[in-house]
Amino acid sequence: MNQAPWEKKLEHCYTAFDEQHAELRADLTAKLGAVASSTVVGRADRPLPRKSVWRRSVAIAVCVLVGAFVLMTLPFGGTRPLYGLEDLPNRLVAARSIYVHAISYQTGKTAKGEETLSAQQEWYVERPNRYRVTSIGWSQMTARRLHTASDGAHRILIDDDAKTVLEGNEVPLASEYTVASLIQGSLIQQLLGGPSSAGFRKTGSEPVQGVKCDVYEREFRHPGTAASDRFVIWFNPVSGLPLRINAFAKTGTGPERLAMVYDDVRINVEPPRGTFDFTPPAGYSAIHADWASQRLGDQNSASFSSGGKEAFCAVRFALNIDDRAALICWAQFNDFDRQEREGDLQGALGRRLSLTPSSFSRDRTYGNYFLRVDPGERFHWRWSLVVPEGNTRSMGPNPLVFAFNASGTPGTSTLVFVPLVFDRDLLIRMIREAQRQTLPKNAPPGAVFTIEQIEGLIDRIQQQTTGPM
Amino acid sequence: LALDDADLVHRTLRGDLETFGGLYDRYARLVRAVLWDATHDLSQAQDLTQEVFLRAFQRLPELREPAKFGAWVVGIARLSAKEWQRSRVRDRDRLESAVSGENSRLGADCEDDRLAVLLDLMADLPEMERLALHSFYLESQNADQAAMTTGLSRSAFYKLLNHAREKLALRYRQTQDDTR
Repeated sequence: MNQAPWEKKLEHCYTAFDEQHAELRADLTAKLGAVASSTVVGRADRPLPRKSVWRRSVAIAVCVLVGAFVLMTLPFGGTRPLYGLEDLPNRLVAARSIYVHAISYQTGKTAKGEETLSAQQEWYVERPNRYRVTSIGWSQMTARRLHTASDGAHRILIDDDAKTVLEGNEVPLASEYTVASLIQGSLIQQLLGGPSSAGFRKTGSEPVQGVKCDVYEREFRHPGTAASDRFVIWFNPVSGLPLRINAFAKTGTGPERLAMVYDDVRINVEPPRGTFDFTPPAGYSAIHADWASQRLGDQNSASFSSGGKEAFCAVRFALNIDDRAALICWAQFNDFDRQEREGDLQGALGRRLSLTPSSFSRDRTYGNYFLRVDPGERFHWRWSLVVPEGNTRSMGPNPLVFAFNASGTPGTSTLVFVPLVFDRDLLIRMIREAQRQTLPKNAPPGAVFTIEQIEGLIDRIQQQTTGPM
Repeated sequence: LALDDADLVHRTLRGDLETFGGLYDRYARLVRAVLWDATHDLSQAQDLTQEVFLRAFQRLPELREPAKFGAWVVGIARLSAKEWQRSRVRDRDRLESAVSGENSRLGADCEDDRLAVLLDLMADLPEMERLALHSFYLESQNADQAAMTTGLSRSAFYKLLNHAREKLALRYRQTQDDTR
């Protein structure tokens, strides 16, 4: 390309900015090593320095007063906020992407005697619609590894055990729903061993990889059994993320064993290379999958089963409507009492249903209001609105809990679910698509509730229960 | 094969500090130019550039889009430049008696002929036009890369760059005429 004289001059002028580049680079990289031990950079997150003291000595000598003043006014010398474990759910929910690496352990008898085997698990989730999850299932001391990945257009399921690859076009909005579900619910559940940090106590501080961490611990004893879980979290208060999590499990009378170690949790990162490579691995047989035949939504259910009879409660969709209510699609089935296999199926729009959720901490109550029932082959999908009661119109912290009984069986079972938050455009599409999944094929077009109709009903319910605010 | 910005950021975050040097090689000249625009003092710009990269290093985990490291670090540089200018104004007011007459033209340092010419050519250009020129000529004249670094769309960047180039060409002709 021919250059104008002024361009040549300009390029020559710009070489002034190359002056001392090599020396300055060496100077900077030497500083990095020292700074890294006290910064969040590195494989593990580390605390940030309280003050930056980087000033060249020449500049300070020339103008000490001005230099000192500049240092005082630079914002990176300020105090940084410190996070507590209770901030972790918010840190994850606000993330654009999350990467988690873990090692799953299994102890048992093998041909060599009692052994502890391990297998690696990974999660990468990125808004709005990309995820890859490597899950491990232990069977007879053999780890079965499944990889599920979707980029919103394609979904692939790789079974390392069977050496098969199922691949096909993604169901509309399925990946968006899964990503939201992972970020807003599942990953928090994984890392905390429960839906929130409630019950954790801070036991002290310990360095991990040179980073001073707050150590939190929680033990959960399973009611009526000798089984218990214990989570120990080394939490970096500067990054607001765990540096290491050890999950222990105790079953029956056996000793407590290390079940899982989470050793890498990062947010707002790009996917590891190859994460969304949909090429089947060599030697694996590829099978086309019609994902569209599978349902969209959660597989979240709790059940009783005895003597060939079954009772269950399932939540398939839970969508947060502007923090004022949750639109949920759920099912309740009871095979134990043939007089009322499901119950509560008929009635007027907006009537209050008997199965009502509470908050996980049981300190808030909600009303459950009937919208529609979509008949299915074995049970019916019910659409309803969960609206907060009392002196609040806000949904409050996640998750929600259904506690339900099955007639003929003792005790109560609980089903925990998180109403997912989407931006309004996606919420509108999600509401429409989710209803299409449960409506009969011959349903009239007007059968689908719009967000305006839903919001109108929320207004009406709130006016009836709390009066205008 | 050269690693892209996102790769370099990821490797740095995983503890490979040397790769941050690659990002420095890529953007330090541009950051110096941005800071020189504010300080008109190469030594000061070099100092501030070191601070900008240390600041970027410390805040790297907060970078939402690693592929946009260039735009991000330039943003930090522009913020640092503004802070520096504000502090200098405050200093000047406060320390007027101590430094009277020393730096009446904030740090103007044109001992280097190249910078004297640059100052002469660009002094009247708006900040964004200067940034467009710096980005384009300090990034191997790769317009796509420069557009990303400035945070502008390709078309907006071209428009800005062409405007700046026209002004620069005119200014250059005027300086040539003046010297004759």
